[in-house]
Amino acid sequence: MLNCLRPRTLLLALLFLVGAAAAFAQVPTSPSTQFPYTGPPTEGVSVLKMPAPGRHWAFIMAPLYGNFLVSQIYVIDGDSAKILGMMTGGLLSTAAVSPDRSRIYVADTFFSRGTRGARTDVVTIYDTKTLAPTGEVVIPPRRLLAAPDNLQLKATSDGRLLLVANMTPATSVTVIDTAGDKVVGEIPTPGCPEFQLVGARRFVSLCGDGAMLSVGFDDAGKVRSEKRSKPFFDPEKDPVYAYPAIIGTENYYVTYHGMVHPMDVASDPPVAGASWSLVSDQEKAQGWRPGGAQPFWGHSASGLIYILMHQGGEWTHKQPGAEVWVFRAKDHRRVQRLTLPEAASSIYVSSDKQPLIFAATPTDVLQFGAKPFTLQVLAADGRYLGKIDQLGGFPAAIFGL
Amino acid sequence: MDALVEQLARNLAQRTSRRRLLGLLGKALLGGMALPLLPVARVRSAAAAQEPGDPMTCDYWRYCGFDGNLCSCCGGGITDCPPGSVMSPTGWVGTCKHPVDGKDYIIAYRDCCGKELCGRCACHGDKGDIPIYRTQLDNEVLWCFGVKSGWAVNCTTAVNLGAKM
Repeated sequence: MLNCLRPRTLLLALLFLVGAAAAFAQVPTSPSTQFPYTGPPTEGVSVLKMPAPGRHWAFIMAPLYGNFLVSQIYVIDGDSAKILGMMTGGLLSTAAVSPDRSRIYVADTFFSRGTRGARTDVVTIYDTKTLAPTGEVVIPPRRLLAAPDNLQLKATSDGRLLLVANMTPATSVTVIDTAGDKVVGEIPTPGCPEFQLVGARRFVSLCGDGAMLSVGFDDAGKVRSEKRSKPFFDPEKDPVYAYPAIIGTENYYVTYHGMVHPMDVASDPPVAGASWSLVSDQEKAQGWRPGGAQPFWGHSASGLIYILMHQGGEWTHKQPGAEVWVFRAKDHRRVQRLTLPEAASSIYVSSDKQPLIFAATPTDVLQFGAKPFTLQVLAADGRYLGKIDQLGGFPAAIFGL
Repeated sequence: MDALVEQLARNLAQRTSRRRLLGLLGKALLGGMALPLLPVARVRSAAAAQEPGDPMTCDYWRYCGFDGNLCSCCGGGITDCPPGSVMSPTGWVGTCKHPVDGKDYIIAYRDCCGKELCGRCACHGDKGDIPIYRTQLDNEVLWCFGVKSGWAVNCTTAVNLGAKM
């Protein structure tokens, strides 16, 4: 029985296969059924390019939840209150823009097995026009790994050299020649971490004794001069925030209690000016003091310092503030007192003559489910212009062009 | 050099019995181990008897300058790293007041490295936290210096180094 059926079965099977093949060939080519979809786009698709850099751009360095093994670097347009794009860095990345604005540098640290394994430090180079990585420079694996601020990575004013802050915990600065994108030298800065470029080939660093180190260097990354200022504050009694409000060539160091110590960084070594207080005796008694991760910003064009203020006790130096007090640096007068819709921990004011104020809310990235942060945008007169919400990570530092 | 060592060894052997030599060596080893631990061990045992509070909460007295996740909540303890993590040989320090004897104690906050953050019991003490120019007092630094593994911080311990002088 089976034997006599076999030829017919085979024939049927053959017919089925031919039919199935024909049916398969007739599968409609609609994108919903074709896989993988490789057909030509039916409407315009693209990867967007960046617009021309604007004065109201802001870069936010926001390490993501947990160990900050991944860092968000958002590029924001303040005029439209929108994200233009972002870069993804490694562990506690810091960013800086080349003076001609053609490149964005991101200092990264990676481990070969995620949380463990061999360490590699690089500066990744991004094209400002595309936000795509175009190259990298492997640097000594000694990069300073702390909350990002604007004192860890910077290009010299001519764009020729790029400097990276190191900590092992011995402190130094790696010097990269951007002409060949090669490391050329390392400048030791014992006891004085981070750096701020204050001349074509000179940087200053705050030291543990309350003094300032001033280092002149050459194109080969070699030290040419080294001077120290006198100590100008007492780290034991009233420490300053490491990042100053910068107005021209004057650094205004603000203390936890609201004192201001000016330093003229055009002088070598820098020279201290007369100290003054942000708060009256009455305000001091009410507990007013600065607070946050980047609690103030200096606006050179107007000579104004914008400071996030809150009411709190001792050691509330990281507490966010819902008020922004605006001081004129030259006569120490408070000229404005703004209230933010939401308390912020980082503030940045764009450098142009019609500046925007950017103020980021804090979030606790040490917790699972850390809530996203919001960037508020205000006009210089305090008018609320809008916000960008649902941003990820901790907005440790903000800077612009 | 060989001759010199041989001569020294022979002199030692002539003056000392083997048992006595082993005894001396043992004492030296034990002494060497106990000596650096003594001040800390004494303080710890004195304080441990009466350390009120819950080490799984942020207001536990040793955490006044803490910043991170409590190892007590993450498989470790006040002074112990969770299994498989690597204790950093370095750390930042804070000064906390003991709730019973009222004295100030130096507390070393040492990170346990090599694994992603545990995520539980995030505490931010900030008492005595000074920016990076006083590195040893800065709790914003990743304190995995000297650890061969990666610099991910699993959680942080709080070691009592003794009363502040």
